[in-house]
Amino acid sequence: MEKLFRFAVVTADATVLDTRVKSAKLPTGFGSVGILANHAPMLCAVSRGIVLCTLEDGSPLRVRVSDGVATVGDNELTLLCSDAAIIE
Amino acid sequence: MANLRAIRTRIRSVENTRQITKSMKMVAAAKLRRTQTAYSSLKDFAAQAQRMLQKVAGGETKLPLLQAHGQNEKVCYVLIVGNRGLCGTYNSALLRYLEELAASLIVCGRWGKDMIPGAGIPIRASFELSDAPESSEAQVIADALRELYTSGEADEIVLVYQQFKSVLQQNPGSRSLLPLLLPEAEAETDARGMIFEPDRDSLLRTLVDLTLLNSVHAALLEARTGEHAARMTAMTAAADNTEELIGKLTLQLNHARQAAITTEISEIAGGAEALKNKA
Repeated sequence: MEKLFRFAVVTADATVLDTRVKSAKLPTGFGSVGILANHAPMLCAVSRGIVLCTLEDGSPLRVRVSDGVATVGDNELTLLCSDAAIIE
Repeated sequence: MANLRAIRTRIRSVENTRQITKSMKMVAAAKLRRTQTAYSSLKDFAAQAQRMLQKVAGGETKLPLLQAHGQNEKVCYVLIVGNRGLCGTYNSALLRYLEELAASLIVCGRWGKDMIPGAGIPIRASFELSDAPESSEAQVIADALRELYTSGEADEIVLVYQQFKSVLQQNPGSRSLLPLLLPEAEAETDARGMIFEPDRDSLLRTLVDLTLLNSVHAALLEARTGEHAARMTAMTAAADNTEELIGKLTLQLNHARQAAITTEISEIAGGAEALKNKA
């Protein structure tokens, strides 16, 4: 069974997403950065684009985000940005 | 004794006032809830941004927003007032507080834009704000303040607004915005082994900008929360006063009506007595 980690997308208005995922791919100024469970602690500038993540049941989820900053630590990925929306 | 029709008209007019004040109280309560929710979400967001900033803080930096200017003479005050009146002493208390500071001034809020020039205080710039300021509105103000500070036109930027203590209490106060003070850096052991993408300086710049935006947005929301709370309290007091006034006027009306009846009866009795004597 693949390991999971917590992924939260937070804006100034609300927490857009807070769930457990298998993987997440963040858009950055230097290409995509893939995150898996137990990733090394990291602080990363995120560019406007689509975050692609794989949920616990294997289904994909796409989140449109604006420029922001993401932090990885203690098996948690938190992305702070001014604007974000889940793409249905 | 005032005549009956005049008292009835007065009661109707006070009843209308009561309806208006009650509606304004309900509107203020709804807006208060909305701004309080937005303020508490922003506080969580700002706390997370602050934790990230702690990770990149420490060491030398040349970011202009973090550098204090040598001389501290040109202090620019950013006054956040309400959009409207009818909120007790909310706006006037701020003006009184400001009179002691009196200096270069930037005003946020329609009431200030309309009233402050009349008070003889010069305004450098003014911004319109909605009832529940959004991030985009805060961004416009944060950009203007950043420009003011980095161009050297101001050595310090201070926010002046009503700090929200509770629904019943807001205190005029000020908070220094620029130069930004970095939080204590996290212990070196925690920061060691942390990967910075693309690099520590770019992240610091991004997070400092985010912190500036959050500080302005938080102050706007806190001030607006206070304004709605003050208006709700003022309208509750006004609605209570109209109730009391209606009570007094109703009593006055009953007295007047009773007096009119008594006068009429005594006139009839007097007339009947006169007729009897004549017969």
